[in-house]
Amino acid sequence: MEIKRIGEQACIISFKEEISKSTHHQVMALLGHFKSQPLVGITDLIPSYNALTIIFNPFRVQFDQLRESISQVDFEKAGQPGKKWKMPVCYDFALDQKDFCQSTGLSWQEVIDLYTSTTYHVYMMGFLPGFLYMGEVDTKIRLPRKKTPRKKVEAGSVGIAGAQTGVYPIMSPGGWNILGRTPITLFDPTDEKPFPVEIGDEILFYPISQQEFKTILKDKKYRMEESHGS
Amino acid sequence: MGANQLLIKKAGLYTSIQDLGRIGFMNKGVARSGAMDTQSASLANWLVGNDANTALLETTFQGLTVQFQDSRMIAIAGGDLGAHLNNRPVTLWESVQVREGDVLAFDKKVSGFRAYLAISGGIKQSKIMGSRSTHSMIDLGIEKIKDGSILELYSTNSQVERSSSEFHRPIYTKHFTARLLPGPEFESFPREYMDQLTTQQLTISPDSNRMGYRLIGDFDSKDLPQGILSSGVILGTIQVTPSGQPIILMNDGPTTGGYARVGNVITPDLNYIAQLAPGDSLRFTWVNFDQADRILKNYRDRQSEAISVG
Repeated sequence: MEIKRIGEQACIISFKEEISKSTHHQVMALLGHFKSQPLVGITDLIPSYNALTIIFNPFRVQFDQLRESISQVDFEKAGQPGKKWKMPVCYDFALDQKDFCQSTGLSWQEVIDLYTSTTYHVYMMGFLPGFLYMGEVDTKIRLPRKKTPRKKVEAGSVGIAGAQTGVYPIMSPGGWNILGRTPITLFDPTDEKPFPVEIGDEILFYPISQQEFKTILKDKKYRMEESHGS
Repeated sequence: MGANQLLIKKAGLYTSIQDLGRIGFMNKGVARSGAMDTQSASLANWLVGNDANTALLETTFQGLTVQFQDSRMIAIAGGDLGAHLNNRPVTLWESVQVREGDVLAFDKKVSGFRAYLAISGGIKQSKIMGSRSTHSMIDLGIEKIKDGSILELYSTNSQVERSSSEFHRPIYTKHFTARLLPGPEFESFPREYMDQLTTQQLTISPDSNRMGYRLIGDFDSKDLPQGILSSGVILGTIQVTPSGQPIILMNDGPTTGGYARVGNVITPDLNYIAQLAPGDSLRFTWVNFDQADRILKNYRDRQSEAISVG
């Protein structure tokens, strides 16, 4: 663990630079610590794969107090299990189907089967409101980030970048390889709960038809199903 | 249209509703937004007797024209964008009485790049995720400012008349030297790059905006750190692309990023960077944490002094 100040009002606590649940567990233990024992003066906490960035008001809390508080974190403590979601995805909207098949040597159905057979862990949200960074993608269907990002990717687009898979909550430019689209709203600023998914949740994707996609998209009251199986 | 309203006749290059920003949602990927030059925005609100966090208008470059529909106190602070009230020049940094039918126009940029128009009572806008700030790229449901927009204002009888002392009025020039603290990947940058970062005058690129300021200079991309595993970034973080271009992340910037972070602009200096326009120039100089803490303390003392003595 390394603690660095990165501005008058922020510090970053980093662990091993890797995408792994055990490293992420440490980040979440740290986050849980500051959530259960909030220090006055902390304004934002940004968890990522292997780091937690803390933004604070230096006139209300000192860096040394944060450091002291961090020394009390119990990294062994089991975290709270996240929710398990079943997220529908229509794979007819794959913009990069050709690339997936060509570089993996697999049929499109095989790519979808591999993709939907993994339960993904939500490691972080960032860059855009509610963009889900998840992992890990089966090694057979990993494609690197596109050299030239697309100027426009539709809301709900599901993509792969290396070991990561992600969902674009809103229309945005994007460099991930797109293999489908979900009709689920992942960010609604006017909702009492703007984000249905939390960091630490698990997501299992399942395929739907274009017709089902349209039906869910139109149904503003539609809520994603939680999976209660193990 | 009538009392407690404000007519936007022309929106100008870019005008938005801002307060001091959205706190507590960076973990979900929601930027802080808020006034880019907090110093001027807070002062503008103080001049008309509003709380510092009251929603006001931030306008960029020139062109904004508004017509008042009732009697109000207003104040303009920040960049001098050639404000005229009924075709007569308006003094910045002090409260001004306006009446129904008065037209305020920002005709021509003189200095700085962003001006703040505070109106007594403040702009009426429901808070979304704790703030009334607009995100320039993402629709959060905050009223957009377009030609012909009609904004609602809170009713008020406030007649506060204030002026800020010359000493507390920032001066904006076309060149600024910003002070930097080392970023998380500071040590991964080669010596040559560090020299290039601080020994040349950098130019603000035309594709700079509320998300970030892209800087143009001569940079060697040799031995630069490549991407990192995405992690948190803050206001003022300087990301370096693999080609060597530094980007200063501003209020509407991303909350996480995968480029190496060489440094962070100290908080007080962000107010001045926000007043640089494309084509203006910037230099960087390093400071240490003790120096930065002292600068921030002085800045804060000066700010509280500005709103107590004016």
